[in-house]
Amino acid sequence: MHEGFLVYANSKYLKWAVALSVASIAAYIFYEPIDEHNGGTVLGYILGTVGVLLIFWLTWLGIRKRQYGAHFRLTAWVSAHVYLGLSLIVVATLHTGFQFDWNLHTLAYALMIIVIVSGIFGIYAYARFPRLVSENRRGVSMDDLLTQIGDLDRECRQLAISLPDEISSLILKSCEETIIGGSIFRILSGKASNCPSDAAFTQLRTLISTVDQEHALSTRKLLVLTGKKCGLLGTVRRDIQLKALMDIWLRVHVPVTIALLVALTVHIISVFYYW
Amino acid sequence: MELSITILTRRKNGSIGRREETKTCEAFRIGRDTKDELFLSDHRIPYNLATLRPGEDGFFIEAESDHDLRLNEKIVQKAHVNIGDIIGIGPYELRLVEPEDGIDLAVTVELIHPVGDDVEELLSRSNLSINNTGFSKRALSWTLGLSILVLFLVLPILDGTYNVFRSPVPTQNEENQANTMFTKNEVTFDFSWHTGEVMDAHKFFANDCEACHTKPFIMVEDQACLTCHQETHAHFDVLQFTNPDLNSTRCASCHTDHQGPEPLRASQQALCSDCHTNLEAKAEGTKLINASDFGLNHPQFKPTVWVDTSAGKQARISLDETPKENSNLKFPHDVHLIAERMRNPSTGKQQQLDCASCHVPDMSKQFFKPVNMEEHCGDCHVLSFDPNKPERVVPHASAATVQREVKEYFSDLALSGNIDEKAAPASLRRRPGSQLTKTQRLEALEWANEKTEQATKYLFSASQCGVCHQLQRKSDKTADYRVEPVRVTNIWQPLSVFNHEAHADASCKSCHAAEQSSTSSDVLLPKIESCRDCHGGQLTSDKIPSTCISCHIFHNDKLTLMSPTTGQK
Repeated sequence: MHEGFLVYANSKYLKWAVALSVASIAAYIFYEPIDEHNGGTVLGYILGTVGVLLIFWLTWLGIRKRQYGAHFRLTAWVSAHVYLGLSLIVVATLHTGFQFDWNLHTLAYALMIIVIVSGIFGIYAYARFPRLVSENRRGVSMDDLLTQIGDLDRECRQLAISLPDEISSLILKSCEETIIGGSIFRILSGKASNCPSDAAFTQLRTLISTVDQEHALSTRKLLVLTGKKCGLLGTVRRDIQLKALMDIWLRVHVPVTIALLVALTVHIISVFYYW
Repeated sequence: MELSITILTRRKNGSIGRREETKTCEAFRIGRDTKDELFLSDHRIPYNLATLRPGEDGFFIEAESDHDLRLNEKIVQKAHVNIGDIIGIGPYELRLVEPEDGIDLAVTVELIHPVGDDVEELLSRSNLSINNTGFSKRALSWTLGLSILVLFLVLPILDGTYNVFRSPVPTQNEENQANTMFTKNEVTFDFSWHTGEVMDAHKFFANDCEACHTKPFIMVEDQACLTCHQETHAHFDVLQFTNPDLNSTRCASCHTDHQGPEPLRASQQALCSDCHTNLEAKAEGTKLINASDFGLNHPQFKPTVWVDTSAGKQARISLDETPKENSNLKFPHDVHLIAERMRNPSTGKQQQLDCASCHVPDMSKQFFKPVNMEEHCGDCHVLSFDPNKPERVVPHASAATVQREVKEYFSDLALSGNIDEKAAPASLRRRPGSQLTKTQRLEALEWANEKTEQATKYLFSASQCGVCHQLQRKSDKTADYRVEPVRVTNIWQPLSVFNHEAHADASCKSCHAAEQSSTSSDVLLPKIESCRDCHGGQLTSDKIPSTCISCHIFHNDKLTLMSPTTGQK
């Protein structure tokens, strides 16, 4: 269960997070600021302090999770990280008093929201993608998939030797120019436009009706093999896509967290610098 | 022709294997066709690639279709070839060598680029992980973090506090204060620190943060406000009330900024009730009654009324104690509002007066113009004094002026003659223009004096001036009268603000019981209960929420100016 952290300890941290959120909302409703609600009121300072402590503690998890053997359970930490991180939306939004503008302060808030949204995607990824990965690979390892593709390529080459150039060149391209993945966008999209293997398969299907009688059998075999290869390529591409999706959110989550910590520090310095 | 083909195979240990075969043929065909003289089982080679033929002047190679050949590294499609030439065909190299006896053409063939491992090559072309895409967490973290640090902390401080990127503003004297601010209102790097829109009045220097935020990490000090707001008055007498707690409130406690365009943002009654709930604790000896909420905890109104007009003495008296104003004016409101009793003497018609007949709003529409005798009372209360000439009136002026006016009138009449009055001496009833003797002149003077005294008595009687004024005769012997000065309070509650225009839709009598007032000493101010019919405190839910500053002003014009040095509020 990759999503075990969601129900850890009878969702203890979910209750904490809900309690914190409800308390913040209640305080916001009952507290009457001298002017508008904002970060500079007494409640604003309290919510801001709670928010900043939460943010630094949540970041601490990133360091903590690397310290194996310490006296803690990683599941507990992740559970707390997820739920208290989500409650930060309430705490920080109430801290702002819904005053947003084109300034450093809203930048810090926006960065925090990016971190949280990427984290929510991470929860989704951890909860859903491992199952999709198994379903996609059906117990076959990546190495096996690649070996199968290699075997298919070899068979295709042999078959194509005796076939006319028109077909042979398709197979040559399929074997020598097919690419899996590539740029970050190709990996994440899971698709490969202009894949020579797909092109070979499509064109073989049209050629099969026009090919000479003596080459018909080989061509038909070739079509089956190329089709198989395309299927395997799809599985591999989906596999690396899912793995990339499970990884990419962290590549937003972590750097934007660092950016958030800096922006938050500058936010605190600036509001008291010009108090 | 006799053809010798030698296949060279390079082994792993570096040695070269040779396999030679000899063929008799018309032409030397090269390709993937099994019928070809050189059959290359490699699908990288076209089915029919090229043919080498003997010609008139040596051998000649020609590619089939539009395939390319590499003759000594040059792309060709047909060419003469000689011994020693190297012909590249796909991954193979064909070399023409010196033929042995009986052989027309000898070639060696070597596979230079063998087919690689498909999987390995596939992997070398592919990229299966975003780890290899250059999307590094560490690099992005550093870039984002440092960018934010420089753009939003380093540059703003260097620019805002140390003016590193700006030419220094020349020092100007105090008279040019505003001008200095204007010239400093240029956008600087610290604009990203703005926490919100500044109030409209501050926008002309809004980009000069340091105009208000004079010291880093110190809350905006009153001194910064008072640099411009030099005419702002204090809230209490700092000499009488010395408790330092009273001075702890900063200007910015109420005048919050960066919250939008309106000038005074904070109007919560708690700001006032902090002290005014138990004022004695902070201001010992205060005469003010505690108040914390207009609807729930606010004393009865205490209008300032004239208690002793001649002594110039005013006092604040609660409406619960039914204050009486001694204004020296006699004016029954009730009578004037009954149409049957209002008959205009010049037209003889009844006239219905209403409040607006006399109480005319001033320019501000909040208050009223002073009631004027000639304009508002004169139509009916005609100051006539000569029964023979009722249209002749005296001005509404001092007693001395009135007496002089009357005397001049009768003297002029006596000297002019042609008087109708039968009781007058005959000389005064003469035809105008004839000369008077000395005796006649004395007679005329005596008549004029007599008439003056009669008229003056009449004017200064209960039927003329005395209708409205308190009169006193200076002495029993003379006819000198004194009209007691009228002191009508213009604003009964000088420390509060009331806007009549805002209440224009309510009828006057809904607050002012003028119809029941038979004497001018009545103070026709409504009690607080009347206001509370519509207004409640700030937290009321079923009335108009009204805070302290809905009616009261904080800065008291009667007190001294606020001083940044004494910290007086």
